[in-house]
Amino acid sequence: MSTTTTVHPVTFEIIRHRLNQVIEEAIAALENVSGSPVTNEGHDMMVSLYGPDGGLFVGGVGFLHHLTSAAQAVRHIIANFSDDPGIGPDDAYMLNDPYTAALHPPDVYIISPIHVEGRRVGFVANFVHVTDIGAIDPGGFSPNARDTFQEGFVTQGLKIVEGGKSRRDVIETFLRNVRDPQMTALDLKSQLAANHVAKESVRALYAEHGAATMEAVSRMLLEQAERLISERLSELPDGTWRARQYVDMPGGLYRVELAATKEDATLTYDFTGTDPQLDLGINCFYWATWGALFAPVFPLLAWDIPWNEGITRRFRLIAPEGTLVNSTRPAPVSIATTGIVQVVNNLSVLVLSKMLGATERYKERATAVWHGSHVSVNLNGLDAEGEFFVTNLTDSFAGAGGARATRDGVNIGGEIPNVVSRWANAETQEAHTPIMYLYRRPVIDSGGPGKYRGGVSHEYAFSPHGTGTGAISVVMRAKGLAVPMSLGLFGGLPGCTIGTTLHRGGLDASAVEVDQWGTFRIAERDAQVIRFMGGGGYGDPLERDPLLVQADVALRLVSRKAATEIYGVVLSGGAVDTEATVARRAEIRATRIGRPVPAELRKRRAIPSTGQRYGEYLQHVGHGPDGFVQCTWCGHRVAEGDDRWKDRVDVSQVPTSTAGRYRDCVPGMVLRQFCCPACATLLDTEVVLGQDPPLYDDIRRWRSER
Amino acid sequence: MSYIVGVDIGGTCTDCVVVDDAGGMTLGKAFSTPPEFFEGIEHALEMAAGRLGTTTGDLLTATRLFLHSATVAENTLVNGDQARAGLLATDGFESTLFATRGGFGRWSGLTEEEKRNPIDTDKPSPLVPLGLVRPLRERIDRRGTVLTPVDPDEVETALGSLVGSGVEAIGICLLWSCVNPENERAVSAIVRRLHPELFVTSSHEIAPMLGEYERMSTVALNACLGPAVARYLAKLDVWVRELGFRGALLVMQAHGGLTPVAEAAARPIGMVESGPVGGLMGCKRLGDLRKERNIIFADLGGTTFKVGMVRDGLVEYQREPMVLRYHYTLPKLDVVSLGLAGGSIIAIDPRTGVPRLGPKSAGSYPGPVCYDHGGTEPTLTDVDALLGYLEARYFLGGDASLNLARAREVFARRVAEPLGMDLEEAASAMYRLANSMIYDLVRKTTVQRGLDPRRFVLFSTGGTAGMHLPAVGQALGVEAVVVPHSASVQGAFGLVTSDVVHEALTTRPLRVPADPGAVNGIFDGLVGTVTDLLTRERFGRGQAAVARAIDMRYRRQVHIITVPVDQEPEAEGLAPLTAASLEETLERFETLYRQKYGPESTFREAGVEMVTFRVRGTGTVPKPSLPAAELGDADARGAIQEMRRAYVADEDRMDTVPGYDFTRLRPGHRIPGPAIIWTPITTVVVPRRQVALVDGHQNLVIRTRTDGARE
Repeated sequence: MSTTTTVHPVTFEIIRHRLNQVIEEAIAALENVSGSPVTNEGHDMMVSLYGPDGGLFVGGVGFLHHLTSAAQAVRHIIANFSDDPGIGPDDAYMLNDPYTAALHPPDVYIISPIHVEGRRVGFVANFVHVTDIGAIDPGGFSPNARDTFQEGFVTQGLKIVEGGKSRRDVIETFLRNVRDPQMTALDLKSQLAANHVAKESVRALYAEHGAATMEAVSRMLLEQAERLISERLSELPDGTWRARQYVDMPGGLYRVELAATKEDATLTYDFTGTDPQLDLGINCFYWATWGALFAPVFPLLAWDIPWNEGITRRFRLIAPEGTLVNSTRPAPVSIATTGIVQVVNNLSVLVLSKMLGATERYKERATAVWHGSHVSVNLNGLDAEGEFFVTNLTDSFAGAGGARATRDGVNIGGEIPNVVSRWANAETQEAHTPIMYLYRRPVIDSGGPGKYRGGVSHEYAFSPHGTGTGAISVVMRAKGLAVPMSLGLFGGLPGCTIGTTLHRGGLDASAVEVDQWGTFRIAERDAQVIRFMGGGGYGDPLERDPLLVQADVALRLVSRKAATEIYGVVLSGGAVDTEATVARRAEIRATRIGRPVPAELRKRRAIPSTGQRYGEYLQHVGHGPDGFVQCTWCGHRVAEGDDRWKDRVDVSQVPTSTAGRYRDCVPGMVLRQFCCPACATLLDTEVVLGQDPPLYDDIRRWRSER
Repeated sequence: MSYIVGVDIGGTCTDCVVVDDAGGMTLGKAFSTPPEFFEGIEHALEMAAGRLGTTTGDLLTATRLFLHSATVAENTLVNGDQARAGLLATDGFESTLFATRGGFGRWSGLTEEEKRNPIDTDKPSPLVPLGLVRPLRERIDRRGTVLTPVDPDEVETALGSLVGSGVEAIGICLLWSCVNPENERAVSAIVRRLHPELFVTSSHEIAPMLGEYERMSTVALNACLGPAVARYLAKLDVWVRELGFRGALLVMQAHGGLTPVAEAAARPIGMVESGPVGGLMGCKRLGDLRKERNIIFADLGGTTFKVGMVRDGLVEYQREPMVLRYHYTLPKLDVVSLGLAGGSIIAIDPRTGVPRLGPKSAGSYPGPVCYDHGGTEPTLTDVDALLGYLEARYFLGGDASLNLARAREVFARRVAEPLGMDLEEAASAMYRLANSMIYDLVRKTTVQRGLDPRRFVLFSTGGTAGMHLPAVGQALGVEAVVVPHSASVQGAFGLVTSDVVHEALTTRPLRVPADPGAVNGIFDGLVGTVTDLLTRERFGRGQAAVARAIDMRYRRQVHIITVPVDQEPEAEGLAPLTAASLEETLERFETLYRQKYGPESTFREAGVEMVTFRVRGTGTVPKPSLPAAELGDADARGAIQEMRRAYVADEDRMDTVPGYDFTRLRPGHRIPGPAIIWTPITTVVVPRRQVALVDGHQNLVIRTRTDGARE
């Protein structure tokens, strides 16, 4: 705590509570004025407060990658425009350039300085996904762009309000560049209203408590967050954790590599080895990657710590230039948010979960990947009245939870980077758009199998209905069709892949085409079908309680086939056949390692937690190289203390479809299983190209050893 | 002499108000007695009967109307006593409840802090599991065109398999039934014909609103609650008649009106939160008497904090209401629940040394430490006790005891010592924190709805409210804080000020300008429905009135405003709408939209759409007359019970403060702050810079002194 000004802890708590209220009030103002479905139904927005230097001060909920990116936007404004044209009281700036700070062009930041008695005490910034930004494709995501000059209007900082007065010349110039100026103007108005509310509330706080107290509390909040995140990081082991995701794009398969190294109270994300940037808009600039890694850090590691710059100070990022995670201009970036941003989210979830799972205290917070890939579908065309419409379906906001260390993933349950997302009702969507849903239903076997199952995803089908011209256009930009991205944890298996198809002539027709990328026409007699990605599983599916499998089969969340083949649970009628299940599970174990497993090793034994955890099934007994790695299922000494355990266990490479239906991948991609040589328990899984080496994690020191 | 009796069962107390022919009111109060609530009702009635110099039996024999609200629906859910119900849904949408609109079901109803921690969040278990939903191949489109009609054989098969699974109730929710109920009607007719013994709910009957998830959730709730609530109401009916009652039993609904017991049994979901809505309606009635058209209603008790408001004499409908994290959609007046109350627990965060109030609560049992029921964690009520506000003699009619020593010991150990402060210093700091948080919450629910608290009067009810809301009202800058005479029994008071109400609605999206003929056609059907009901209930000429309203929005926008077409309910038949009157309605929509969402928010360019049409029929019930007494002498010193040491918030110090006996206060009395006023049920604390006046209705009206002078 600060030594210069002391603030009563109660005063501190009063101000902290009020500051969170300021954000909530500003978000309410944003939603009130906006009224747009994407802001209100999908909660695709963010409002946060920033310090006088631009550092994140009070982070709100919404899409969390923006918390830090908007900080960078504020810093850019301070660094470049302080003198010319100046940052005066009641000014407001617009900034949406992805190569400066923003994530992609349609996510527009509006930044307002907050002055108290003429002195600048901080900023408020927010974003919404504006209706249109004037890119080659309507709506802001541009699969047809090959460089960023085709991705619409960008600015590195434009003063749109000066001294409380809107700059009409500037705003009209901007609106002239977009397809739907009226709706986009309303987006801007909502953003200005939100900043106004926040600004007035902060001023009231200064008036009530005085600048000295407010500044002391601000300092304390940052110090407290930094101290608490440092303490938490210190509780995690020191070491390096690796994760990789492959991204399937038209014309190729690309990789994003992450090695996360935690040393004392600092966590470094190193993306060295990631593939070069593409001429497709999934690329991220540096600040998008920075934001994307934090989106899971806040809810997974810092759920009970104020979300501010104190947290971000403890993190480092290495993102090689010219790669997917740090592209150079003019590589296109308009699909970053559903592209590499989401991949970085997934990787961040994986490394954080492995670190948390390597501690006794936080092991229950480990989670497999949630909702590994968005399919954001943009529709446009003429409605029955002959009016042009452009809209995003909200289905992708439904999500699917990753399995957790103590329970299943939440079925159709959302995503980590936006903790408050949801879809719009079919009736709401049909009321606004000339389409008719044919169904929206859970996808059987979509959740990654595991001791705890990943949440199932959903699938929809719709046909255009009541259009003006008999057909509409759909703008598509999907990944994850040929690679599962909701990866499992500690032996858990991946959730299903994305399926996106057009059925010419209706659902029953045989003419089916894949509509992954680009613009497609759909007639009223056609149907689009999209299967979303299920959540990843946690732990070995053979450890799953057979009664849970029985219940899943009864609800058609898991097929009988998967129950038998993956979970080793044999059902007779609707009920578990215990004897057959025991036999089937023994058979699966034997298949994994190519030899039978003795009966006494097939049941989990009570292995004392005398060592340090690697994860669900492994612990390090004894000290460093003198100790050994033990399987906590059967007690087997898997490896010596100075071995890489993955080199000492049974490894098999099996088709990815071993994890269930809807998991067919690009040629060469396999499910790699690491099994205990004694009991054949699934210690870890990787979804990799067969020739790629294993992902080695390296824990150097657990906390108790320091 | 004949009476009207209102009985409201709340979580902690059962309240009773008796109105006699002359309009005089008598109050009664007792602890609620779950799971059989009748004992609590009897005690409350006994107290009122005693004050009237009669017996419960004689009182009930002479009672014409028995008006009732209760938390029976909520209790059924909390205790897991809901019935096994099955659902019939459009093929392809049978997982609508399971899906809960994605993460919405997982995060909604959580605090902001809980939302930030998705690892520890799950959806509540579905009211109707996926295995008890049956698909029907039928479809209607957004215009109401039947694309696929109902296949009776399929319905029969589906029903047979549900009945075979042992369901007691059936819910029916088909796509677009809010626009065209034809298919739902067909299905429900089959169900009722084949299985007259089942409790049946169709979505078009109970919640014909756009949005299949919320509609299906409403149907599921209603079906699950139906059997238990119907049983409770039937038992109540028998019980009260055995005691001699021969009049009509009416039940409060969350739409702000009463309904005959038979109809209430068919729509149990309407009883959810009807008690607090009754409290709000009671405040509105008091506001009418005092000519206040802008009211914030804040009911802060031991376990709940409810906030509602009346704006320009109107109460809005709630968007996205929820009960125990289950969504529903229903014409329900807007009363929101907030997570802070007398039982909120105070804890010091060991990592930072910062104190936190809530969100954990000691509940009604064991409750605060000072109640001496075994509570071990310090609560807000304990703070109030330590600051000298509570007085055992007045506390719940003198029936309960206060263990101050124990509260002191626990608070010192768990709060004061860790903070490094002395006891009173720590208690007063926590009092300020609580008031600041209450301020934040009230502000949130008012400012976010676009209203300026300075134009409002704050009605403060509930056991904890009087000790905090006067100070909070001062910070909010409201015109006045009113502690109604009926504050301690506000829900029951609301009952006796309410009328019988029937709401009929239908969803029929129409672009503006719409053909007046089409609009009149829609309204004629709805007016017919409610008029028939009122006629059947024998509301004659002059007692029955109807009013129309339309839910409107800007196209391409999600916000919906319920726009009154008729400013006041019309008793003498409604004039058909014309192009001109529809134009007026449009103007009213734009005005209300601006008021609520801000001057920048209107989006005329997109055009305007009418979505849902509503008719509200009112059957007038006789009311207490509530005559205002003459104001007498201002000097209230005669009512001072004692001088005691207590905390004066706006001077941040302990001082010697007069404690007044409310029962000795008379209209016209003026109580300058600082003061404590003990009523038989609750405590009111007046800060230094405020003054309380007793008005002609025995309400305490607390205002901030304009001169700021001390007296």
